[in-house]
Amino acid sequence: MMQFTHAAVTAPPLHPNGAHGLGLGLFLDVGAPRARPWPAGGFASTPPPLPTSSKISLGNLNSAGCMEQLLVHCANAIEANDATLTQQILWVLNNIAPADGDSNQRLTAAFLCALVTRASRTGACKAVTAAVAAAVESAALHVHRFTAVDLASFVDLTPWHRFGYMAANAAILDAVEGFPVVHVVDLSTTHCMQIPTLIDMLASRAEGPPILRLTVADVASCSSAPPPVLDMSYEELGAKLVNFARSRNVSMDFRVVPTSPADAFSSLVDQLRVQQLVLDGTEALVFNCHMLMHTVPDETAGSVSLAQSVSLRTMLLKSLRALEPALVVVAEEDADFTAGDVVGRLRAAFNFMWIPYDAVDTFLPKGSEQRRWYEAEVGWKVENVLAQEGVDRVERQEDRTRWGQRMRGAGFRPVAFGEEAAGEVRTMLNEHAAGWGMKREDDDLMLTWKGHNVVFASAWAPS
Amino acid sequence: MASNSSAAAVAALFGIRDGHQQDQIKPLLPLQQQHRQPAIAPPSAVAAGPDHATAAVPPVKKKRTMPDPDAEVIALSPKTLMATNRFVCEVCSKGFQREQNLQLHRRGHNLPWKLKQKDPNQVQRRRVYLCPEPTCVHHEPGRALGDLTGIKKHFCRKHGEKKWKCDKCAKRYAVQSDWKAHSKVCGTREYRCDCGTLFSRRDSFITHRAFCDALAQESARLPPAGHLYGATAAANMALSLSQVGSSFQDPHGQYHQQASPDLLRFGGGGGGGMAARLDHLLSSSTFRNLPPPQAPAFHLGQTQQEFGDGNNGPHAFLQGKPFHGLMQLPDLQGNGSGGTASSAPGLFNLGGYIANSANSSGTSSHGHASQGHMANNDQISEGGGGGAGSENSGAAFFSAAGGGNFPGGDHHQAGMYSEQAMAMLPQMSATALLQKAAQMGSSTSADGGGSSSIFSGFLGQSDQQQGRAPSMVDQGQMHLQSLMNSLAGGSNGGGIFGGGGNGRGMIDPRLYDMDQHEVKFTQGRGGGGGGDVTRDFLGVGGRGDVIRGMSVARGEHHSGGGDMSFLEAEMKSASSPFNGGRMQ
Repeated sequence: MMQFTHAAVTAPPLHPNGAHGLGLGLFLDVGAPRARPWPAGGFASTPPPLPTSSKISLGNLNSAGCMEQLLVHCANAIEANDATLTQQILWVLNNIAPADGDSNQRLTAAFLCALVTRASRTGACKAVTAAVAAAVESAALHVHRFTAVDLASFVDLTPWHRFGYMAANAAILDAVEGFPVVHVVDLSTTHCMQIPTLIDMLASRAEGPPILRLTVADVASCSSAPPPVLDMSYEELGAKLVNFARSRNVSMDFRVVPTSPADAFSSLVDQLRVQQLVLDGTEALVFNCHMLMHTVPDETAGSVSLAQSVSLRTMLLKSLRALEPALVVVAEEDADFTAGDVVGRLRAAFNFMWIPYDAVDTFLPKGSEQRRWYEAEVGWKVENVLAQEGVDRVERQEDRTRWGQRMRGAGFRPVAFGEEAAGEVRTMLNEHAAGWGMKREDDDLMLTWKGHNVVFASAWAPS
Repeated sequence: MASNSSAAAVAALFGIRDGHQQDQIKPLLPLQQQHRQPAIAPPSAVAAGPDHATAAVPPVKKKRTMPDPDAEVIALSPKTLMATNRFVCEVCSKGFQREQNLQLHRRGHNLPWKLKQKDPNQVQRRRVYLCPEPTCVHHEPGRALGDLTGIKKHFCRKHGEKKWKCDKCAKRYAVQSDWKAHSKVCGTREYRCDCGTLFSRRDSFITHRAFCDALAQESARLPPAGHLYGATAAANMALSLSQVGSSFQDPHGQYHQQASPDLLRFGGGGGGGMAARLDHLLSSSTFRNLPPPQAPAFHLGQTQQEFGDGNNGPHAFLQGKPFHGLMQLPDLQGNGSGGTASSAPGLFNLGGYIANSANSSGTSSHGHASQGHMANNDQISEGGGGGAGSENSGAAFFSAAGGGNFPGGDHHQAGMYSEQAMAMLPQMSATALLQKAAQMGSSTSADGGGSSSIFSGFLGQSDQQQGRAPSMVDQGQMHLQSLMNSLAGGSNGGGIFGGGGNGRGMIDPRLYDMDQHEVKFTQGRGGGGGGDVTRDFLGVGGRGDVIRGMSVARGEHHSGGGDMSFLEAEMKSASSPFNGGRMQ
């Protein structure tokens, strides 16, 4: 494992009036270092001792591990309806984690916001969080509405999405070779930002461009549609894509299907099912699932699921399988936010979400507008993971292994990415900061940041 | 200067680090040695000049993050750091940054000179340098930079004025070498959208371009032209106008010969280097400078001008990328295979170009050929009444390709082309193609409602061509045939190239007369009812609605019967400026 730590020397707390003078009676122990490296600050404690049983070390308050501990304590206090303790910890956190601090502080600030949001919905903590809530801005409120052009350049800043785009495009191009008609069903959160490059690749394929049919799942009407938010109708967006396709000499048909992950995109699947009846095999059907599949409820969604034993997620994959697609590409974040308890999710999210905060320093200057948009988006995710429940909690990431099990279970076999695809991804990563990397895991490609798994891309065909 | 320093200090100046740096930076001047400013003398020597604000060397801080705790930490004032020409020749007043360079220079004046030698006995201490900017992370000794040049460049880049401005784009640089490096590649590796935004990566540009209003405006800007076919025309038309036009302005007579193999390779399914070349297309012509069709000659010139600017003259550019212009042609083929919507503009591009070069009284035989083409286009007849345009695209395409560019211009070259075509194209059996097309036709008509594959028309044509080929040794015909083969071959039968409601092929082989470079088409369009040539795949709509094919929710692919599709309109407006008046 790479170490990205620097010594947690005796740096004074950034807010001298913060932790020192509170007299909280809050003592925390900063224990032995964990194996997990942190972007800054290297220590984290082993499972939380009771807050009152150990001693706080102010010098280490700024370390990620300590912050995680405080957040965990806070979450526990909220869950236990302990208003006093909640208030105290929120106060400490609010002072050691300014929203404009270093990456760990901003990470913590986002979690703090999410916990405040959660606390403000829970009986006993409602009142006490009011004060903090005033000081803490909810990131979710500030999710930016992008124009298409802005979103294009925004997505372009980091490989977070581009990685999946490139891997998927390469796999799709391989899979539809020779097909005169290609039907791409785009299940994505990024509003077709992948499609222009796909059109471009199809336009220059050796046997001439296919007729491209694009069906886009529009989940914007859902109560918690994940960001980014597009400030443009899909009709308008589609017109632009069709126009662009024409400029590249590709015939294209664009369709939008309003649908919802809460019912496993059933309206979309139904419609595709009808269409498939009249097809004769000249059309290659491709599902491009980019960061949207995890919004379909999994087993932990509980009451949402129709049957106790079968999740909507499994149902969806099986119905996709029944459509006999030429290819299904799944690009998702390699994380697991499906834990039933908030503390479990907090730990998992804290151990993943540091990456976007750590990486952002390499491509956006502090205080820039785009950086605010970016961090608001990450903050939205954190808040969704921590503060939302039921169908509104759409950030239900599962890791690569789990998705692989699901896909196999639904009757798919993995399709390995070619060397060309891997090469293209590597070339793209070279255009970004040095921390990004790519590795192969089984047949999949994995985007890494400083050696940590970030996003995987996997391709599947009916087995 | 250096004489202020003790011998030991001077010796330290040429330590191992210096040797490294010298190798890296001045590989071509091995004799040249670097000289450190005396300000950085070790503790034993105090050498602070008047302009050295911070000469005192702090005690070495043992920071864990510092690679070498024993390194000397040097803090220089901004002035010292940025100083140039500190060492001036007393004869010619030429200034040098390093004394060693001055010493070498003095040799040329026959003045006494002396190069400092490294003292092998001196213990070499590594030096690290602080950034003088207090807010900078490199102001901390723990984050000091390892070499003087590095800290100089860092200070310039991060805290200095960006006084070097690229004259081609808006970029500014603080370090001259950065500016030089950028200037070398500016415009070649960058992609410029019409909106003015620059991109260094192609897929960034592609994505932006797709959503940028500039592209939509290009499409919308094209004015109605011609009484019969007034409508908007797609950017494509203008696009390949500039593209094809610029390449056909190629002054090199070898153009055809160079271009042909590659064109064919692509058409035949090879297409390996396609993407790379398209890069150039995209960067320099496809998306830039899309001229409105009314003034083709003017825009042609403009396009070329632009190439000249961006690529050191059209000669160099076209030599380097000889296939540039013709690349559009493979696209056209793919296009035709892809389906009506995309094919149409592309096809017309060619026609457009031809008319274009005629208008601009082309410097070569192209002009002549083009005139022939105009005539060809005139031969297009439509049977379908007011509507129908996409069939015309086919006509334009064939007339253009068959008569104009290749055989019309220079028969010898065309001959070469044809030979290569025959050699390189995968010769698909026309019968097989026909079958395939029929298959497609039936399948597409299943939900398309009476539109059948015009590909059968093409294929019939192709078939006929093959039949005639042995007897007619007409290069143009050979060429046409190969083109058509590749067209069909690329399509895999996927074309829904319109076709009349009754399924007749749109090209009547009987009307095709290669000897005269004329192509006549009758349109097998079935009156009113099934008059919809454009299938919904196009996503282009009728009556000015650009996206009729796009439907929300459950909208089945439908194409309104009798609607003049956007495509058709586009085709017509594209054609009108050139020959619309004479079209029937």
